[in-house]
Amino acid sequence: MIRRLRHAPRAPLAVAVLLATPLLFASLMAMSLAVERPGVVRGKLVGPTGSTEAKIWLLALVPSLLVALVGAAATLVPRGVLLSAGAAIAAAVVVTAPLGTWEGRHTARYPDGLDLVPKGDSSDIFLRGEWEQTARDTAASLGHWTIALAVAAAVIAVALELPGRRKRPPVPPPPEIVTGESQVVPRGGI
Amino acid sequence: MTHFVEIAGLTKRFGDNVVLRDVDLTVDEHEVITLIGASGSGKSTLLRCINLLEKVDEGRIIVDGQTITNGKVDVNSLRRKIGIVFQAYNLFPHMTVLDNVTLAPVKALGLPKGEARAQARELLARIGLSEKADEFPDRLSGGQQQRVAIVRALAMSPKLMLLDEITSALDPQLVAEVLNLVRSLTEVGMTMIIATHEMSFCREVADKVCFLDAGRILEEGPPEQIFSAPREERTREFLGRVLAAGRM
Repeated sequence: MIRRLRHAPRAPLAVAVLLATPLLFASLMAMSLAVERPGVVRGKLVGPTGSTEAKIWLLALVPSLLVALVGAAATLVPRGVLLSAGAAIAAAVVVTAPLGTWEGRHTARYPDGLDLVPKGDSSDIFLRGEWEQTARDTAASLGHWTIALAVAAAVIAVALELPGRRKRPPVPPPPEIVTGESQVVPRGGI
Repeated sequence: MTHFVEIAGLTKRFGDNVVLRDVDLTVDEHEVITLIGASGSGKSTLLRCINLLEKVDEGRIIVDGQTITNGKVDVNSLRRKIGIVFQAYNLFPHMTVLDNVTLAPVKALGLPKGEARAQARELLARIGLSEKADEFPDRLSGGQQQRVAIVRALAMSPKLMLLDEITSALDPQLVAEVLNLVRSLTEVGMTMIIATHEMSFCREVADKVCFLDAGRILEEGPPEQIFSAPREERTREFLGRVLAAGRM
């Protein structure tokens, strides 16, 4: 298996890693919306705990890692780039589809906005829902870019394959059927 | 009569939080409008909507005869017309003052580097910061950084300037130098919309004052009327609080 992987074409893996990069940032914003919650110290809301931050990073890595794994596996099959692109598109859709729901829940967890500073306070930077809307837009935009890049990669892969096919020499016609007696003279004479 | 900026029925929401409700506002050329109101009343969001930094949910904004809220506008070309300065100076820390000021004219307007640098030096000299041209922002005081931020916006020769609480992050002794610069802009007829908590400054420079409360323009009028005889109870309350805090 390892020998096969070593000699397999690298394009599907390279494409998968390329697509996994914007997907990672989209996932990071999406997982922040999905998972982030303020910590509570002596009954007061404070910034998220370290474990929440770690959870966000770990969950954000999952879609990109899956795409990279599919990319590695795709090196073993013909037209692997298409498989890598398909995996990235699927992951981007899965990550961005629930953004609206996650945005609403995050807003509910931060009733005074992400800075936890009440409205009317002179140091209030984020209004309720303001950061969430920006995060949703950013994640959606990165997701769309991932899909666009994946489609472009698939189109390029198909386009590169087409001229390759045309270049192959035409299959020669079958030899004509020969009739009559054999002219072969056996070794040693008749 | 056509106005330079025309806002009609503007509504902006963050999820279910309505931050601007049915806002109507007009700004004529060379007019200075100030937006006052408590934090969270929608002043910054209104400025960000005019520059399309926020998507508008409902309503219409027309700038210089062009409807900018129909999704067909070239955002970059719109932003070349509108300078915006924020409370946080947002200067690039790895660039000198001169590079900060020349970046946009060179990259966005395509001005030759030499010409942009000459223009930037002239602008910096006008605000008394020419000797700081080759310094990095962290070597400047807050007031100097904010003046550089204003000059950076002016270097694009905007038709409209949006100033979003530009003195809020400054020590009181540094506020005057920034306000003097804005004052000089009003004298040359720059069209401006200024969100501010500096009431005496607002009274001095504004042609029209708009009081925002809970995302609505509750009251608008000339500064004499707003500050001396406000019609709305909420305006009176707000100005009373400002007076008690010694900011007027």
